Amino acid sequence: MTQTQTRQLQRSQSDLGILMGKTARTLVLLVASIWVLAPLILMIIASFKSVPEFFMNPFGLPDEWMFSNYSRAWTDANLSLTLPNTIIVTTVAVLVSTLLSSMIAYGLSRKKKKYAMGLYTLFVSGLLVPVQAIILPLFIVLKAIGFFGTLMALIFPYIAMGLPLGVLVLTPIASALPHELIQAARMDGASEWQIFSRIVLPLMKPGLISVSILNGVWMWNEFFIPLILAFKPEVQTMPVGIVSFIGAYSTEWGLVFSSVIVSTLPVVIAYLFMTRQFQSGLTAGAVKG
Amino acid sequence: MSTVTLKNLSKRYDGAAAAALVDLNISINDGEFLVLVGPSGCGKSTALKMIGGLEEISGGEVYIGDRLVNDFASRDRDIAMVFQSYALYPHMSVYNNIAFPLQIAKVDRADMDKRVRDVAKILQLEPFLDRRPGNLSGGQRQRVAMGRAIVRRPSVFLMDEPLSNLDAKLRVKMRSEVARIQRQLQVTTIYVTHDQVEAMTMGDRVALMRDGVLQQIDTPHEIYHEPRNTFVASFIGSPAMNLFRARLTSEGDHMRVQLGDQNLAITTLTHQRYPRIDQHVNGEVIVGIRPEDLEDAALLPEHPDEQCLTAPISLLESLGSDQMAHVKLQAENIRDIDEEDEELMATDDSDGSGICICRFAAQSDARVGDTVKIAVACDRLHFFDSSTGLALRNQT
Repeated sequence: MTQTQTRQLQRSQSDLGILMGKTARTLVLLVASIWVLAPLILMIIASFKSVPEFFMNPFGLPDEWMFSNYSRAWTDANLSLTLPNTIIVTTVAVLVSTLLSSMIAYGLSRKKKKYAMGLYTLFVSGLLVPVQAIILPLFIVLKAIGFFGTLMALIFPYIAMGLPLGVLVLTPIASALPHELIQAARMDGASEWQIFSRIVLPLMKPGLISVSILNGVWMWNEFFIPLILAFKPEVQTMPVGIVSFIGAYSTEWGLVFSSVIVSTLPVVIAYLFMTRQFQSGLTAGAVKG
Repeated sequence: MSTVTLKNLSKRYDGAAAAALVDLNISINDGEFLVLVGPSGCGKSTALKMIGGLEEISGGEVYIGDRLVNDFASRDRDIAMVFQSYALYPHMSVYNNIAFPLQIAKVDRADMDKRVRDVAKILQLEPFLDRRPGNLSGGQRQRVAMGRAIVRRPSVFLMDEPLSNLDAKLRVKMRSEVARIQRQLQVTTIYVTHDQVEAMTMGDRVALMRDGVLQQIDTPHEIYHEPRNTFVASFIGSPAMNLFRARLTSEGDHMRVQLGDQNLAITTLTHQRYPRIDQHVNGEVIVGIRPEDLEDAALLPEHPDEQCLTAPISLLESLGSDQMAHVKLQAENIRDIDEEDEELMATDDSDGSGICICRFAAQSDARVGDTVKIAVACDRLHFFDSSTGLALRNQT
């Protein structure tokens, strides 16, 4: 075999290797996509079915598209109340919790390590406390200060419960900010608040997005706290509202799924518009920029 | 514009064995360009940060003008600082970086715009005003940092090694640029560097520090030609001054310095500059000779014999304009250096000889291995006490 032939053989072998690699990768991605999309598509289809059809033909297209499921969900499932409630609670809690976390993180990053470490551990250990363990004292405290029966009863615990994750993610980011930037701003005449708001906060943006996404998603979906603390329909959030369709003897699956679709829609729309920020936010802090 | 006065300024970090700064006393005149120079860890940046209010003062006083500013926050001291890393705000455009101090001071928008554009013009930054610092070259970033400092028109500029991140060519250009801007604005400037060339070329006066202690503060000319001790003599000048342990002898009115088995005459001029050598006759001293004061005697036929040395050349480095000849002298070589943290460390070979660097003119025909006669400019010899390292001058 000549040298040229050997080289050609080697090249075709390496081409084959690349092709196989690409095929394997495509297959894995295909399976992963189906894994995610199949339940979503089934859910969308099921949201247009009547209850009998849901059981008779669980995977097929509906014979009759029940668009009324959506209008009934809006009125009967109180989506017209629970959706705005969820938006208000999540937005306020995410904004305040992220802002407070960033302030704590910046403060901790500028303290001496021996003092900061203890406080940091204290904040982060909040992640280990299960909500079931604190629900009773929370109930008593909220009732005592008069927040019970208002959206504040959800917003305040969410803010507090968002802090551990916020502090965990943002403190290393704040610590990595060059000290000279802060000194330069101080020299330029900035007050401590101006240093924080005009220099530190914008530079922590990827981390802030990351914390907002992670906290926002669980606050949006949180079920247990509103179940206990927000039993009045006018302060209920969507996860609790949806469950009210699930009865002991019969369940309106079409309404359940249409409500679930409505509740997922804002997150999906936000994702479509902010794909880049989501991705950079979720990887923020993973690699030093 | 303002004077800056440091009185017994001291700094000791918690848990540190030695003080970072010991009783620093300096008076900086209005509009003066003072360079603080010294090796790493000598306390120069600490002193600068204490003046800027970025470092707590352990002892002593800082006056800006006639105001004692020890307890003033940085922003109340009317100073601006250029950092080694430039410390530009990466999320802001060049325009906003320069305008930041004015925005903070709530300067009227039209006035701010005019001032930013004026500064951008001085620093040739006009085409880059909309760019982010990340899209600028090192030299442009450095100019933005300068712009941010000068736009406020402060009383004092503090500069912490602002050119050390630039490449050699750009550093030379920016050196003259910074000096030009300072002269144009006439703002009192304190400039920290470890580069002696920057110190010598830019400063009206140079303050040389070591281990937190001020060694000498003088004009570049004085500090070069009249070093106060062996450390100053070694630090300033490249190549460094040759320092040898030597004996002083006297024959009638004529004094000589004995370097190994050779003698050099001490001229009247040198004697006048170093009157205290009288106290060391028949004793040991350290003699200092700058490389440029050692020339190939073949090029100076008129040079008196008693002002010449003879030594073999062990290495010859041609720089084009001149040649660096490393010759071996039978005398103990001394270098007052910091790296090994040993004072007055001897660098001689085991055979008791020491290397002496001479700057020969390019016309010299000397070759490696030749034993050459070296003409010593004995009017410019330097003498130091062999135990303290202090110059044997009448010091104040």
